[in-house]
Amino acid sequence: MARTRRAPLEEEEVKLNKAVEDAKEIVQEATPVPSLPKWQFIGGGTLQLKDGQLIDSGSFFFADPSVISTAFMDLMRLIEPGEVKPKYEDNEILDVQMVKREDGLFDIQAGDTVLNEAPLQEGDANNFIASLTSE
Amino acid sequence: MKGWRAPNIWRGSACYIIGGGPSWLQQFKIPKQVIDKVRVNKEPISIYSPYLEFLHGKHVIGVNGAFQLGSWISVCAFMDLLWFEEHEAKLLKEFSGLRVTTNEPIMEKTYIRGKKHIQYFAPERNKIHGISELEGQCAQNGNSGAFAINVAYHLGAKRIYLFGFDMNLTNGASHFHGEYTDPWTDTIINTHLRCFPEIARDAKQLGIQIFNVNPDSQITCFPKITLDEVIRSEEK
Repeated sequence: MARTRRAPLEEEEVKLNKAVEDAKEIVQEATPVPSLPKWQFIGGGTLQLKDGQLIDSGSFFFADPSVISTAFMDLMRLIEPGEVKPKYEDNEILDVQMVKREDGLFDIQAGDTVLNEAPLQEGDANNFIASLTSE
Repeated sequence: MKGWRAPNIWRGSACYIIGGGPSWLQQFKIPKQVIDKVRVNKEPISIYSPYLEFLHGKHVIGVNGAFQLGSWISVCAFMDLLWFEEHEAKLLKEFSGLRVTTNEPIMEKTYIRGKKHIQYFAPERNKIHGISELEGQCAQNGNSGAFAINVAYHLGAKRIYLFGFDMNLTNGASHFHGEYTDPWTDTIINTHLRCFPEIARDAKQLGIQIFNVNPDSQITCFPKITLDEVIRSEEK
């Protein structure tokens, strides 16, 4: 007697989808590459990264940002930063600095350009610099 | 992601924002042959710097590529991810001022490098257009120039002068740095124009004066003045 295949009931389908989702989560969570950033793909469909990984909608994965196409970066949620080799050395990047003036007050300088309207007390200048690096 | 609680380092002062439109090239009387050389990449944008001497040493926000005008630009404001991708190296390695954005994916890409070199203003929920008063937040406004106005507010500026906020074509050109691949259409321009009436309304309530330094601009909700009037007014 030929076996017939019936369509899954709605309840069964929900259970099946959940099992697939759970499995996906477990497999990808367990990927032993903790040094790479962890992302979630929040777009629809399936995406192929530059390193060949296939990423399903909603799934979590580990990847260096360089393998994610810029066009899809808006569809990525960064879950954990990880450790990525810096694209630039710190000493290559220019940033504003706090500079002491002859009158004992301080300026915030970007190269030769003073950013503040009026000279700052040391505490205010420190607060400004701190504000640039705090979350 | 929390936004940058920008200290009021420009409290009560004037701020000048250089937008993408080309009208200021005429305002500052930059010779056509110089402009033509920049347009065909024979000269860098920084060749305009000597003509902009009035702005040197002032509080200037350069929108997008305007940061390349010179080291006297204090802040670079941007929000376009593709623009950032294209200019990232130059922005980090050649520009020493403040870099500000309201685009979270840009921050995600920079945070993971371990140190924060770009300041972020979170878009205020339920306020797409206008000026956000909330610390660390901004009204996104859908264009980088309008975002820069909100940044100027957070830094404490009371008078804001807009250069290159044209929203039309000047001698057939839409941007001072050259044209985008997709030409500007009325639809695009009208979309960008939407935010300005609400910015004008908020500025009035906050006691900020905003002047449009382009008498031919399509943005009509701010008083229009000439560069000569700006110079006379600020040199008093």
